[in-house]
Amino acid sequence: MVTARGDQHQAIEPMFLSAAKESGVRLSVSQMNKATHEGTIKDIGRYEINLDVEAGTVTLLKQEISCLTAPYPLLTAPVTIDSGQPSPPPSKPNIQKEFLDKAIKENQPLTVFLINGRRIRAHIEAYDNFSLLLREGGRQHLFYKHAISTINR
Amino acid sequence: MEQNLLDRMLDSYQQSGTPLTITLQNGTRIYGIIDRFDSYVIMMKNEKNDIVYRHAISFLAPTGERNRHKEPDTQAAAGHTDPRQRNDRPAPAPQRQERRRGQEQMKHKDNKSNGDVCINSSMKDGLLKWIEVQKASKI
Repeated sequence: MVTARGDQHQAIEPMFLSAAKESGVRLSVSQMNKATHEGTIKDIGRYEINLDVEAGTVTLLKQEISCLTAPYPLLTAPVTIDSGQPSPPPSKPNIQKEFLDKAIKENQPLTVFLINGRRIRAHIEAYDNFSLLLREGGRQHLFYKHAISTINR
Repeated sequence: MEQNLLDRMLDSYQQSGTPLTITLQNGTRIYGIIDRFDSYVIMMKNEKNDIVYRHAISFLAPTGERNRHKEPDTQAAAGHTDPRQRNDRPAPAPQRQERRRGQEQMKHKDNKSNGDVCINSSMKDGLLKWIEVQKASKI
């Protein structure tokens, strides 16, 4: 079990992918065009993933992936986020960070709308610059931000 | 500080409190007033307080102006309209957008060909008339 922190600078996505690769869990990969693939992760690249499916190996570009779903939580987020070192006040407003931090802290369920029209209601566990880690029932989803159009409570 | 056009527009809309219609790439419309925005997201002030990712936006306009051109939208009160609830327009996937673009090009082609036909037929009519006039003048 790997521990994920709700720190924005901590890369959630590589951790999720490597945890999935190590455990050999069968992932469900949704694409932007609503196609889905099921299989185990074979290789992890910077911009693509090799997925072992029944028919063989599929190379998927990350930019075409909207979400990766694991049947059980691969990463566990700590219940409390340590706010040990107070970050210096940013010169630019960071609305996204404020919103997501609040949602994690208060354990609010969020409704996430994807660009392709898909909607999901789930609790947010962690996030990084490019992805959100969501928990819905027993499953854990990794959503790429490039696939998200809106978020609300 | 250098600001891009979208930032300037958002800033002016935010300060004037203009009700906006943001249309997303999938055709979903979001109505409301801008609460705050940064370089990646826009926070809307409506019932749901949507956070809209700027990479998902297709275009935006003040709500009033759009309604002046088109029929008043009954979904204005809904805030965020779920594409699944609307049977009339399914959410287009990126591939469909390409397809739509293709269709538009086809339409343009059709228009062109129709236009050609129109010009040809009108020219033909004009020539026929002119011939008739010439004949009549000769007689």
